[in-house]
Amino acid sequence: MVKKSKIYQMTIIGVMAAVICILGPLSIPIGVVPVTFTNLAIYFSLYALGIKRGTVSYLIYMLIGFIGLPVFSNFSGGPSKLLGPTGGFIIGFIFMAAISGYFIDCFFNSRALCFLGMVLGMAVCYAFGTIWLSYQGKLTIGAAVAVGVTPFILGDLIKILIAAVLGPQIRKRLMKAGLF
Amino acid sequence: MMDITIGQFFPGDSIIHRMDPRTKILFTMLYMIVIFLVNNFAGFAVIFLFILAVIVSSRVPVKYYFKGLKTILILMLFTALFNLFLTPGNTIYTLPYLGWTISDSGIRFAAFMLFRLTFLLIGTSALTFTTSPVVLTDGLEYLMRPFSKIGVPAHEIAMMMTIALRFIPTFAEETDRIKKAQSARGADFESGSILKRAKAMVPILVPLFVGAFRRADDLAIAMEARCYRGGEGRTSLKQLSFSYADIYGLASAAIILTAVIICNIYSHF
Repeated sequence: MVKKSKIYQMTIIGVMAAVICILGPLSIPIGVVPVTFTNLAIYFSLYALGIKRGTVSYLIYMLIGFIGLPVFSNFSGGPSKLLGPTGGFIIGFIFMAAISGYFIDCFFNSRALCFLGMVLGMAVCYAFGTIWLSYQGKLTIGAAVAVGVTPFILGDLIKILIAAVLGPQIRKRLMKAGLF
Repeated sequence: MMDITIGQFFPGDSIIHRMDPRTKILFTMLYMIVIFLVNNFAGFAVIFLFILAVIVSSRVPVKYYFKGLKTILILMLFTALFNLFLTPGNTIYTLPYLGWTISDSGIRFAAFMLFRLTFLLIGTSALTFTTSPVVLTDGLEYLMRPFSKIGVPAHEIAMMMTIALRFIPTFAEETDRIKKAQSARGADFESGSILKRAKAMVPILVPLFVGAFRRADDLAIAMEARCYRGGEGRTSLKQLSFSYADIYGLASAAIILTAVIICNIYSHF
């Protein structure tokens, strides 16, 4: 990794948060379920920056969403989104970023392990989302899974596959350019 | 896409707009706690009156408050239906063929949850309707400052947020430009299997990330050249200050908290 000043670390995290803000709210509808780019953007930033800076840039993205910019899925934002029924997923993404980032950094050369790490991270994120959703709506865990997790599993697996394929290419090219 | 950086802010000069961002952030947190404290409909009546007062005095059109609800409408309906049918109690109505039952406590509970979600979402969105993102970032920095003793880098977080705010429009434009440039070179983003389409994203993502690194580098050099050295002893152009509006805000916070607690204890409705 290229060693740079503390100020550079700050600027790159800020700038990467801006990139997540651009990619995050986009989504493509597959069937009735919108497949958002948010976690894909997080995976890419993890590949581009590594676990620590990648996770912090997600945190900055989250705060940007909190102060009202429409950067969450479907161009929504504000504290109501963070505290609302789907807020658990947004919080869960922090842990997803940390877990996936750990696997990506430690087992960069093994695509299978990176894939596994991202699936694990996704599962943790689902756990947070489900618990909050069931608390907020007084739903049973099963019902919360049915409405908040099941419809999204396929799309999320596809996104992880895409990240596992494209991520290494991004990091390799950045390494070649002397930026990572 | 260009107006993304003003977020949900609705410029104005109402009493709520004039309040200090710190008051508003703390108020929003307190409001959230109060919403979860409420355990009967009398409490919600108090909350309703309060929200009505906020909406009227913020002078933000009512429809904006309800816009935010649209995104989670399906989820809210699901929650309501689930609670309606699956809460045990005295059966009032049984659905023909399916045999699902609606009980009196089911109706009560479903309505209760709907009120809670609606009030939570509408009430908290007042914060971002009446405060611009830049001012909110300032407010967050002040509020996080006490935590810097336990290692929360308050100033750095606010600085990174400001940098991100600054670069969002730039990258929105750049993404657009890269996409057009690659299309002009014959790149195809719209056909083929999902994996093929994903692969077509590489020529967009790589220049976007390289551009991001380049800009971060330029910015770091510019900041170093201007002797930026972190938050210590740094002053800001716009100073936050408390005013009469904040006193009203704090007073009303105390009133609702008390009213809700009284309702919780004495009301059985």
